[in-house]
Amino acid sequence: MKFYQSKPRLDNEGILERTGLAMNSIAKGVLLPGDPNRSKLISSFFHDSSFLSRKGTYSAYVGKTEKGSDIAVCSSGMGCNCVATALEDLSFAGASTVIRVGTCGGIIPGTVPGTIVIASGCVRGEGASYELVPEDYPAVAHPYVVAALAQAAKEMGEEAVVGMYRSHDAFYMESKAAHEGLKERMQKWIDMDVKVVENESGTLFTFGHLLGMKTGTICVALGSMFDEKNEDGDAIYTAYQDPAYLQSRIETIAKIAIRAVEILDEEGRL
Amino acid sequence: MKFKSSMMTHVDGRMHHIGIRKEHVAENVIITPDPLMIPFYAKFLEDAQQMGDYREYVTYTGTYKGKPLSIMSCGFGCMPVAIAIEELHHLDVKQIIRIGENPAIQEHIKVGEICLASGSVRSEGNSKEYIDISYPAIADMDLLFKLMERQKDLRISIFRSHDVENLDSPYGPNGMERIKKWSKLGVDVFDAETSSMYIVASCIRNKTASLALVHENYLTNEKLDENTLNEKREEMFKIAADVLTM
Repeated sequence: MKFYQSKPRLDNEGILERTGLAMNSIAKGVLLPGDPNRSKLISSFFHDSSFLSRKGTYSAYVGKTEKGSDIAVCSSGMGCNCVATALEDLSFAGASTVIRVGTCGGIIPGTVPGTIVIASGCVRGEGASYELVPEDYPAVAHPYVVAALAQAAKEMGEEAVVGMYRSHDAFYMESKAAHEGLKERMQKWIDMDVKVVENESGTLFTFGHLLGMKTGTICVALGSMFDEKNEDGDAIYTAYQDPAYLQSRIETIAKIAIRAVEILDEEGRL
Repeated sequence: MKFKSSMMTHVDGRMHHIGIRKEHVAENVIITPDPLMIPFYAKFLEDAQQMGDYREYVTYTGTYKGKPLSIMSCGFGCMPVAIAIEELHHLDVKQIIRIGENPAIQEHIKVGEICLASGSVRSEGNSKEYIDISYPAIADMDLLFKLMERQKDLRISIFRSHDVENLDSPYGPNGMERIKKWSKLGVDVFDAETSSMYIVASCIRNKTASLALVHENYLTNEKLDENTLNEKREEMFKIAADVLTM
């Protein structure tokens, strides 16, 4: 059910002006990474993958899953603004299920770098959802998507945590490199057992619901924002010290998300 | 509270998000949202070289009228632009001017006009994490005066920066009603980056200013054609570049 109806913003060639996507051109199941360079990586796990379009931070590829379900990937860029734009145009392009695939920072001290975290819901600390729904409206992942992601992870022998996310807009207020007072700002979220912080899911879940889409998020935790700082004094997240391992974890969640789309297709729930 | 973030780098010393080191960037930087526009703007620099291409951040550095200058993309919206301001500050960048193409919401504003944000309505989420909403998002006065001096006919405007750009547009549900509400409050331009850039800059004591080329007017339905758009982009870039290399 669609509760938000806008008009497509088309260029002279009839292409969606902001994202470069064509109307009704994409698969029902779409993976949504933040990094434009990650679209190509994720598409390399598709069968018969082909490049669809690139505009701004929106890079799209289509292909098939191992068992033949149609699938696509479209990057958004970081933050709620980009996700809102991507979602609206993906809706016009024919997507009905959107799964964010990305990285996040752990809140709980001792979060193991590389931990896979599937979102149950999301604290709305970002700006976009406040323009779209009242402040008391829940940002909740679609249970079909959560279940499919959890099942896909299990099939691949991965132990995934299913838990609460927090989205926000100011990386340098809530991260390992944050300005003073991080512990004070985060304490209430630690007390509420929020697992991780990122920037997109609050908008993804609320706007996705308005657009009649099923949405979910799977991310790799980079470590905890409260981990010890490194010897050289910089504030790099632990996972970035081993780029090859981080890359392998991102590839793993991409494969889990691809399988989740396939599961949803098999269940007739895409 | 004093604002002081840590320097967050990759193992090779490049900044965590913008993907460059100090030697890759000049003390003065022009930023613009779209990474795909950077090669176009880099043409107006001498000896421009690509220094970074990571996530939405593409950086070229060269000289302009003989003085070092960088052009970097900052991504769309409040979240990536705030990161750009923070990380450029860690690389000792002194002045930043944002250039972009944005819609006007006043009938009297012509497409092709270049607007300078004296301040911006804080409708985005980013700046609210930094400081109370009562604190105004305003340009650095030094840069503001230099821009006004360089280009006398710049339109001095209040912008409004927000996160769901299509919502308050003729394409959004009840879009015109939403637009008119801000039009009546004297807002000239809608964008997505200016208020978070201004607030972050105030917090960390950096100098920023924001220019918008009006590429369409939501009230008159005027739109700039592609050729004029590119001419005006060049004009806007040169205004910013002149001020940053004064």
